[in-house]
Amino acid sequence: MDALETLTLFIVSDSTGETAEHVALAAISQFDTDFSKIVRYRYVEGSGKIDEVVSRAAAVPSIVVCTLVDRQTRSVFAEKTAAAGIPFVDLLGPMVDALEMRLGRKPLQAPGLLRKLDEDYFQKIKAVEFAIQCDDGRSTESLPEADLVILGVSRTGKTPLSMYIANKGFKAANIPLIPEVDPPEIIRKVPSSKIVGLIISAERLIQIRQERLRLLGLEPSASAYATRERVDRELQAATDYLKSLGARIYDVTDRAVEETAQEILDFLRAR
Amino acid sequence: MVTFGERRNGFSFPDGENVDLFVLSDCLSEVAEACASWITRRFGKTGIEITRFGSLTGEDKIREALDEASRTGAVVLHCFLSGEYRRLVKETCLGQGTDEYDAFSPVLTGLETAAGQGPKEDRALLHPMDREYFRRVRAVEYTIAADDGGNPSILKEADVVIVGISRTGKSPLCMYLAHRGIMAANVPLVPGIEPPPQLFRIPRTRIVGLTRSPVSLGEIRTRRMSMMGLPPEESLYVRSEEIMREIDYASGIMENLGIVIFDVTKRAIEETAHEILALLAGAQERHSFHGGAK
Repeated sequence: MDALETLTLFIVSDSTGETAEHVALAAISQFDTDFSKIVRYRYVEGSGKIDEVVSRAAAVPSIVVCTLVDRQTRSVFAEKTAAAGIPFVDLLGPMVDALEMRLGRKPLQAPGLLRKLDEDYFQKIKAVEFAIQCDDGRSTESLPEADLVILGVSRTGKTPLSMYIANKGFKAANIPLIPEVDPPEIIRKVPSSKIVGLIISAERLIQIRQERLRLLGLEPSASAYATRERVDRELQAATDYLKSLGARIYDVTDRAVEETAQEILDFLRAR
Repeated sequence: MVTFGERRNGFSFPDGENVDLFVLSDCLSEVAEACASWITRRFGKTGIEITRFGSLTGEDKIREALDEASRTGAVVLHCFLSGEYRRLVKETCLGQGTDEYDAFSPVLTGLETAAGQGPKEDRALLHPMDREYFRRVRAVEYTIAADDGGNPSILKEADVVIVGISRTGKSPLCMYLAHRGIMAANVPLVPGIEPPPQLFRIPRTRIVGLTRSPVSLGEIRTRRMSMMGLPPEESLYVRSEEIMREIDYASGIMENLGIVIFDVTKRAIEETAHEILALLAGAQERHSFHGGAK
């Protein structure tokens, strides 16, 4: 028990090391404690760092988890950690070796390329998680981390747009603009270049909302939701607010989400 | 059960073979996916074909997946929180002669050694809310992998497959559904390109078609062409007869499949999405009432 309370996790990777960390964190959740410290050795090339890792890991209660493609490095690592009595996990190495045999070709070892691929993958995963977490005005405390904040009245397609953009690796949050509810103050801390507003023609919005009411089994005239007056007021308030933020405004009337997304992505990438 | 005979895309390496990789997991789907993805990045996009069996509960489902792996000579990568399932997978694979790699046990064992104590057996990893969250993340990951006809071999895993011609909003609709925890694939219907054979093995209650009015499609495409700097009036893409041909082609396939079709011309994505969610929720029940007959 005492040993676990001060357990240090050493991650050694020829790339970002995030996969190893992922597995290790899931595994530690099965014990009554957490790692007291995580030491990451990333973008390790060759066996140059092994002695350093082994001597640091030998000094404290620890476990070493590696994701390394190079078999030679892994076997030296396994020997040296065994000699020092340090628990060592070669996470996916045995599988890489087996696949190399079956595929009849070597795995990629170009560090730059792998680094790019791994970073892209985790960037996308994080962006998608972020978009889910910050959908529909939730988790506004995370807004300063966003690459993009999408604002708009109800039914302008904020969620699909956020998801689409997250899928391209950008962290997108979206917040509904409702006349009776003040948008969170924290938006003012987001640079205007990261804010976009979605607007839509009043006619189209009325149509969409009437359809929505019908789907809910309501008579469209029974609610103010789809009336011209209400819709005009909402759109006006939204436009005023968006202008006050200095947001770029996109009219999504009769546009496919992909179109708006593409324009926004072009802008994000050009920055 | 789905047959695997047509899964390969005719890809082969002169010096080696293709590898079918089956990725099995329970609530650790996300971790399993990270490991599988790590592997495929090391070997490039070709040569390894992944089939995911996530959120597995129950020995039957695990055995079924392993039987399939054994039949097809697939390699198994697994990541199970449940010690019972880990043992089941190991023993079954050993018995069937399947190559099996456990992404979770080595780290658990390492931690036991480091700690001088065992883990709490099968302790629940996540709060119910986290599970819901991971279910959604998994759905989004699946939907990304299955976007725009990518990876037809994973179509059978989909909760719903969206089909339609270009610019009917298939991708955003799928992303929206994924966000609700639905694993949504989409397949474009393009004249001259046969839809993947896997599509025709999906139960029709799990396929939805999208259509849009020719006028609206023409407008969207004209704008798209001009955005790309192309003269819209000269393009086949926007010519109305071409659009009609595409719509006719897609309608033919959708009628053939006997699926529900939504006209998205005057609707927000959310509307269509909610109808699909309702459809999926009701499908099972109706299916049992009518015996699935047309």
